[in-house]
Amino acid sequence: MIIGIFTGLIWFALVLLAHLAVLWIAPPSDRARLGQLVFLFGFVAVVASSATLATYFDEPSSSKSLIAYSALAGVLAYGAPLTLYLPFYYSIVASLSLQTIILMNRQSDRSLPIAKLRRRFASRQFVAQRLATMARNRFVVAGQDSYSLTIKGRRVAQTFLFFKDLWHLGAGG
Amino acid sequence: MKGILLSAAAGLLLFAFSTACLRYFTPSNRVRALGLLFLVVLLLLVVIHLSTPPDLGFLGKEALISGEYFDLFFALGLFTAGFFGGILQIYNLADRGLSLRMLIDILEDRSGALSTDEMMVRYGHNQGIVWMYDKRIRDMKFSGLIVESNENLVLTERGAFLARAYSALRTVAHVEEPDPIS
Repeated sequence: MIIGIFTGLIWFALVLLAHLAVLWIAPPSDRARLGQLVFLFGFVAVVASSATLATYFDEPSSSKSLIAYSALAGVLAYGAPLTLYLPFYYSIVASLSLQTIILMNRQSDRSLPIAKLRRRFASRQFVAQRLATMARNRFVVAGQDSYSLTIKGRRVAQTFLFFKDLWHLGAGG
Repeated sequence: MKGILLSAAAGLLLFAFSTACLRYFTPSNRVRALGLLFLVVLLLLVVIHLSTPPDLGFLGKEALISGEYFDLFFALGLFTAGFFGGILQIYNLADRGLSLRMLIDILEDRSGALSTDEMMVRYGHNQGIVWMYDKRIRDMKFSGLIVESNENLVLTERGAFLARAYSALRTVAHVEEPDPIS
């Protein structure tokens, strides 16, 4: 199992570098899709390589269950840092609060009027851009003058609506 | 395997505690409450791991990791990832996710479709998009990142430090800087 754990961690480091390469090389419109492919490739590579290495290094005692344990440990060792990395990456890219403080930090007096910030982050243009991005990512589909959910969007909405109800979170957003 | 099983059990326990806490106690600072629960269950995980046999009484030889402390660290890593990347992340998305809220607003609409103008006012269960941004301003004030002065928002030292750090990270991630506000 130790082989699986180290294999998972090494693949995570490699996938992180590959993701950075995608961010620097690929055009912005392709980055999300290519990033997903890189992460998926990482999972396949972890299973294949940890199972192969377990067979190679533990040859005398190798059994199906040993290989399965090694692959499981590898997937978990790869998936655990990935679940920490992905939300962190998306907060860097998309957080409105972070964009707000970065904009404020660029001002000589580190200050901005609330009205101007609202015009940027609570405007019709902002909502239109966000809906267009969601349509590009196939969560919604644009009709004549409105947006409706795709099957993927409906599933995501229903899943999180379940958690909102379960945890009594209120409207949120 | 012991570490994997115990971290999975600890994760389920934390999920149950978190659900009970959010449903029945409605804490004023939910993130802090979840963080405290995480620490309590983390401590419990360490105690149980150190006080149980490596095979838990039923695991086969092939399922054991050589090195009890290595297994413990693996368990702690999995549990921590499960909290910060799992429970806390689901909470953050469910409570603060902008796109997610838009999806839910469309789902809850009778016609099942919303225009951009309708979204402006219907966002967040009819609270509107300005409410969304004001909520973020309120949270940033609460976190000590900004203060309000004469209809202006002013960055604190802490906020400026965070802005510089994230600006550097955005450069590493090759994210374009937001257009300046004139």
